[in-house]
Amino acid sequence: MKVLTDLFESFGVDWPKFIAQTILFLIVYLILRRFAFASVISILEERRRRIEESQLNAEKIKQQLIEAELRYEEIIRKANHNAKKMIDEAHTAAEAFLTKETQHAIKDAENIIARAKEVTLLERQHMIDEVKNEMLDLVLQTTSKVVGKMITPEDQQRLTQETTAALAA
Amino acid sequence: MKLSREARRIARQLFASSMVQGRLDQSRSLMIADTIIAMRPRHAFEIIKEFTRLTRLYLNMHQAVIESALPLDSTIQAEIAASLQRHDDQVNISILVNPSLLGGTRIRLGSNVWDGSVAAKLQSLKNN
Repeated sequence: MKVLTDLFESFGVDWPKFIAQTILFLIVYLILRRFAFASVISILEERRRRIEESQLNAEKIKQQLIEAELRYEEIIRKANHNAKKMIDEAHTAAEAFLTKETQHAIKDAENIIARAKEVTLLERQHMIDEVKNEMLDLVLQTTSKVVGKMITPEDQQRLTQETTAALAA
Repeated sequence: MKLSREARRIARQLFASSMVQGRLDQSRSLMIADTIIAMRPRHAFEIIKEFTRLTRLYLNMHQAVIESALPLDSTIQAEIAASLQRHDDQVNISILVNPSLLGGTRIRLGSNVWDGSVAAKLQSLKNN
């Protein structure tokens, strides 16, 4: 105890003043706590809360960003898939259309060729018939002239008798 | 022009009344035609038209035409006339010389034809 008393004395501690200052300090502290610290603490608390909210929001935004990126990738992947599917379908439809049109064209061409052959055959037959008729007419004209001159009254009578017999039958 | 049923019926009755003993009486037909024209009954034009048609049809039905490339002698003419009379006892016969037949004879009675001409034989040859 003696040592402590000596120590305080060597440092020049005056106990009544020390106690008075301590009381003053406590009073000041209480006043500050009552009127100043509370608002400062509340401001700091509010700031801390905002920082925490900001951090939470940042985390949330980051999470949303990741989800958005995932959705974006999924959408892009689906779009690519759909586009590929549409292109494949278009290719298939184009090939089917091309095949169908080609078949139509071949069929039309075959029809045209067949019709042309038919027309050619008909024209050929028509020409042959015309030539035959012309020749027949020529032969008949010549025959008529010859026969008309060669018919005798006996021939005429015989032919008339034939007709009369047919009439009487 | 389409004939009315009434005009057709009247024309047929008048045509029937122009027949005497199954033959067409020419004088009676002319009298009936003159009467229709004079009296001008309803549908007079249609009646006279149908009456004329029936008369023409009757005359054509009993009209015979004998065509020959050369003139026929009287024996053959009589033979043909007899044959035609057997087909139609009211037949009216006309005889023509037609060199275009070339040879033979063609006989037409109403809508029937017996053609034994050389021209017909050649035509038949051509058609076949």
